[in-house]
Amino acid sequence: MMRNLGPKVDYDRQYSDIELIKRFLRYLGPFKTLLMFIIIGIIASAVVTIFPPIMVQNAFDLLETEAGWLAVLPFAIGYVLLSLFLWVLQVVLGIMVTIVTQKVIKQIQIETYISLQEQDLMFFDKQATGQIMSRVTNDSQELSDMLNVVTQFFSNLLILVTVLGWMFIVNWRLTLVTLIMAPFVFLVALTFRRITRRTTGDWRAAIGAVNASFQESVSGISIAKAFGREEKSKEEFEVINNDTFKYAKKRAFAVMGVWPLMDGISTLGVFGITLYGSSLIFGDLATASTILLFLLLLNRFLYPLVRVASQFSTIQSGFAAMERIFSIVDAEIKITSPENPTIKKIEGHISFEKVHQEYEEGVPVLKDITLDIQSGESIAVVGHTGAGKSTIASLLMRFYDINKGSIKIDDVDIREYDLHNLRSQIGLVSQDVFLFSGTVLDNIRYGHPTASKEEVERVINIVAAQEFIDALPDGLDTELGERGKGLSAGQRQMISFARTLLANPKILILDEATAAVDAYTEWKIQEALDKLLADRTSIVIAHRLTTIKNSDRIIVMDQGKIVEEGNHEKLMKKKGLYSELYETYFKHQSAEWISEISEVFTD
Amino acid sequence: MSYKKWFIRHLMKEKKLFTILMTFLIIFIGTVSITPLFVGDIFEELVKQTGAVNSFLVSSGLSIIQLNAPAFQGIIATGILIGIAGIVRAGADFTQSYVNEVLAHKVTKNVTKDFYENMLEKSQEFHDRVRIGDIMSRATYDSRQMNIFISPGIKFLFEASFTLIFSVSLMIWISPKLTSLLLIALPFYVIAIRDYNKKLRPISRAQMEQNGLLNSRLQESLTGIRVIRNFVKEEDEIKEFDIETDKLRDINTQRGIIAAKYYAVAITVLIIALSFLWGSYEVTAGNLSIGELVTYVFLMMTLMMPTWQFGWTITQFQVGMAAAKRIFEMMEREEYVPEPASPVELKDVQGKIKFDNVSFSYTGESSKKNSLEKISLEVKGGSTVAIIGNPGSGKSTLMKLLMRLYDPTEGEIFIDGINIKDMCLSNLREHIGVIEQEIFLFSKTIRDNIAYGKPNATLEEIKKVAKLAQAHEFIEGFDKGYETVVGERGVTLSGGQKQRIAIARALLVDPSILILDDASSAIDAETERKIQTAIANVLKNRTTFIITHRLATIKNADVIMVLRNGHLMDFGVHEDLILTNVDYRRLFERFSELPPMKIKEEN
Repeated sequence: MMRNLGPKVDYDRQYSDIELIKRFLRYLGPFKTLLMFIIIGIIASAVVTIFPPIMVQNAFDLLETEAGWLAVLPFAIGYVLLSLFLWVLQVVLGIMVTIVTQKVIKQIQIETYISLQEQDLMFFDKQATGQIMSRVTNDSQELSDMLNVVTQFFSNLLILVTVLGWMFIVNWRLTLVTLIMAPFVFLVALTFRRITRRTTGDWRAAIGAVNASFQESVSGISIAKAFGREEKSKEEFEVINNDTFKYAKKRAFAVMGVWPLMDGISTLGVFGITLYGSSLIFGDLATASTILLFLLLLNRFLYPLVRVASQFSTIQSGFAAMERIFSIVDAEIKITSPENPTIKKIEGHISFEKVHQEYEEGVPVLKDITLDIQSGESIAVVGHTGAGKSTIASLLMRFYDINKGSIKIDDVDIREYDLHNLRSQIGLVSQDVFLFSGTVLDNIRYGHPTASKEEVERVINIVAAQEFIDALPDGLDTELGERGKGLSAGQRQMISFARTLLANPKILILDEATAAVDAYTEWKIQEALDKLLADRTSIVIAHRLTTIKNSDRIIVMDQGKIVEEGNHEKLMKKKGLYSELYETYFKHQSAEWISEISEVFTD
Repeated sequence: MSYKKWFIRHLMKEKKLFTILMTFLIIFIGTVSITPLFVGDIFEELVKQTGAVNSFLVSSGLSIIQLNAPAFQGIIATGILIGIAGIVRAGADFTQSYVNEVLAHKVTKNVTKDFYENMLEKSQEFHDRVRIGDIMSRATYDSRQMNIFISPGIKFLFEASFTLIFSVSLMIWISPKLTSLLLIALPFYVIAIRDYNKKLRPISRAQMEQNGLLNSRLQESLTGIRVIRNFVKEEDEIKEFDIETDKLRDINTQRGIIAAKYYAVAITVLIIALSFLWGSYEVTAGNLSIGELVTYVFLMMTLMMPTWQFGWTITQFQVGMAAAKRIFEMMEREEYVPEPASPVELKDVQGKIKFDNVSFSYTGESSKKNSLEKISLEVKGGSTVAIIGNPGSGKSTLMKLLMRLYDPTEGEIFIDGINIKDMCLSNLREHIGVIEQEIFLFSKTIRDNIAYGKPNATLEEIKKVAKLAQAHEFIEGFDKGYETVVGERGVTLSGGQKQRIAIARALLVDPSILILDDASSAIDAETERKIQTAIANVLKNRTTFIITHRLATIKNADVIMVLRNGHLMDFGVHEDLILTNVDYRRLFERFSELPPMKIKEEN
């Protein structure tokens, strides 16, 4: 089957149709009984469909011979009952199909979601959120459309066959006349499908552009306001918006053309049947009632035929959607818990042994790192941007697996730990803060939802956030927008810091945790932290002099290697990279720098 | 104005399209209803002829063609009429469908445009509170739903109504007696449709809301994946998603069941069957000819489509109107910052600024806490004002008031003695530049980003400001230089780089008043020096408010404002504040206490 695949990503894979069908049937497994009823229902309705017209035909025959109403009565009543029966059948079928479809879709959605939750971080690094989103929402919608259509497709196909068979039995000559239309119907349906697909593609792309432009304008609204760019933005948007309209018109031409054309063809059918039929009557090869029957059957023949043609394309795109969803479900997860995982309370003794890491082949980020951190020790990692400092944190959390060497906690390789057990005992406060929508309290409690008010207050005090939280309209219960909208960068960092502290991890990694906090507040945090860090292992990645100087040991990194280690005084004396770094990196936080740089302002 | 009025006004704007639509709709329905008449005529003839032929064949066995030629010609003539009616019908059908679709897209286009422009004009406060996802779902999903309601909704609605009127009138003409059946059925019919409507409404709304909820949940858990990993919350997230998808499934299933049980169809089927039953009696009783019965039954069948269409239209009407309501509500929500009736023009700005007793609290929030409390201050033109304070002290809020992103709840702000409320917003903002705390760059080229506030700037001008902002060097370092695309589809810039582009962007506009909200922390001394230099360049020849942690910048400001929890604690120059203000003193004290600093001092 030819499938329109949309944007390709590297975990996308090709499934054969058989594979997809087999895979899909697995989801239907739990609904065997319901499915059987559905199949019976489809067959029954297809067979029954031809009977009402037959009743009419018979009644008509009798009326013609003036046989009297009593003779006609059984057929007339039969018509009533059969019609009602068909309706009931449709209702029951509709309900059963809905139930199965919705359950299956839900199952597929949740499986996709679970797979996403377990997916390696590398997976998310590589692609835009919108793309993944669309697989969970749009593609599952397309799949659900397909499911609804599949039953109709089969029932239409069955109706088509039954009706056709019956027509042949009744009058093969007239059937052939009717059949002449079939290729035209099919041809028109196929041609229009192609045109529709192309124009729909253009139109969708144009809509995508409108949405993207809209989204960006709203995201950057404050800038637009600040620069008084509203008018210009409106003009730009108008152009894109008008484009969409243009494409929509083109598409409308194709989409709206198909039905009237079919209708025209069916009129020709009526025309043909009546004319040819009449001539047959004159040749005594048919009766008037046969013609009536054919006219009645014509609708039941043409309609399914057209539907079958158009439903085929829905099924096709449903298959493509299925392929895209299964690609996510099946995307290989590299980082998983081992078979017999170690689960235990860790002490916090960390050792890196000859750790080598590269995200992209040939571009090493860490080279041969060997590092031993005693439990309870506090170390600072310093180095130029890109020296590999943050990678140490990501690797310790096992967000990524290392290429060579090993990382051990309490002498057990982290790959042997249960993943959840490992991560729950390590806290990472990163520079890049993500808060969830919800209240401030919800966010602080994220890692420890059952924390008491006292515990929450304690961490708030440690990160010196009490003052600004009090200033919020509803204090701790203030609702935050998505990603903590409404708070400044510094405030968000403080909340994220509190969140991690509340989870009470044994190992704490601070990756520029207070970079956006003002110097005074940071100093207060630092003081409070000293006590807190006493009984846990901490790794601090920082550019602030004060933070670094408080640590037991400083690790100096350069281009993925550890080049020096020791305390501040020792390293300064060594006159190596650290003292050089100090001169360029940290000096600007000293008073001396302030007067030095002040020259810039006084030119 | 209600959302219904608003929607209808949008619809009525397209009078021409509407007229064409109606004209062709009536032609279409006329031809649809007339066809059964022709079919009936033919049957009348055929029945007569078969009778004649039979008796004739028995008596003579002679050629039939000759004898019945006139009758056959009559049939051919009627057949041709059917054909012509068919072609006219197809043509009219196409035209009306196409025009309807165009109408729908045109209305959607206009609504989207209105909505977009309205969103741009909304106050900053609005954008701070409302989720982007919420706006986007209205701009995309809801506008699409409205579109579907218009096409094919409107067409269906009129088609169904007109078909009903036409067919029923013809039926009355043929047999008033039989038509009385319809009359009896009518109340049930109306009840069925109303009942359907009533059941579906809450479900439609619930479905829309649940869909939106699910989408934002999904988005959040995808963007916040690192935090989820960090706190090992995967299972909780899955559980929650499971609950939400379950809810959606239940809603969808309910909806499917309601739709399947749409019993107006059953009523129509029953009426057709009963008319046939009764009609056949009338024929045997001699009150009705066979041809009339055929016409009548065929007419009844044309009622099937409207019944189905009514059901569909009602469903989509609900969804469409709910969508219109959502869009309209968001547009109507909340005030704009009011523009003065006769604005005073601000030109040749000196940059003298006066805050007079300014208080502010965010509206629509439960507590009455003021974010700013009675701030009074005068700033001379051309001076540099540094604002310092703890997070949440109101620094950024004060600046938002100056730009009139909000209006103060109390007090006034003057620029060069003119109350900013008396100026046009565009006039005010054209003189104020801003470099935000979180730099937002558009996914365009660097050149476009710098030229954002002055789109017709030459490359020379752009390069000049980029140099002043210390950005030229790294921009030239990219392969494509100024044509490098930034953001999701392009290169990722570091915080410092973004900031310098923002500085260039502000410099190009050359505002008389500049607000610099500087939350970034420097990476290394070289970058720091560059940023400081860029800032120093920016300060020249304008009034600048600067919120920063950079002590050198603070120290060199003409005036320093010390804010604390919304109060202006102190203001003055560095030399004075260091002696009088404890908070301020502490900021610098910290650094003078640091060992390296002490060592230098001791030396």
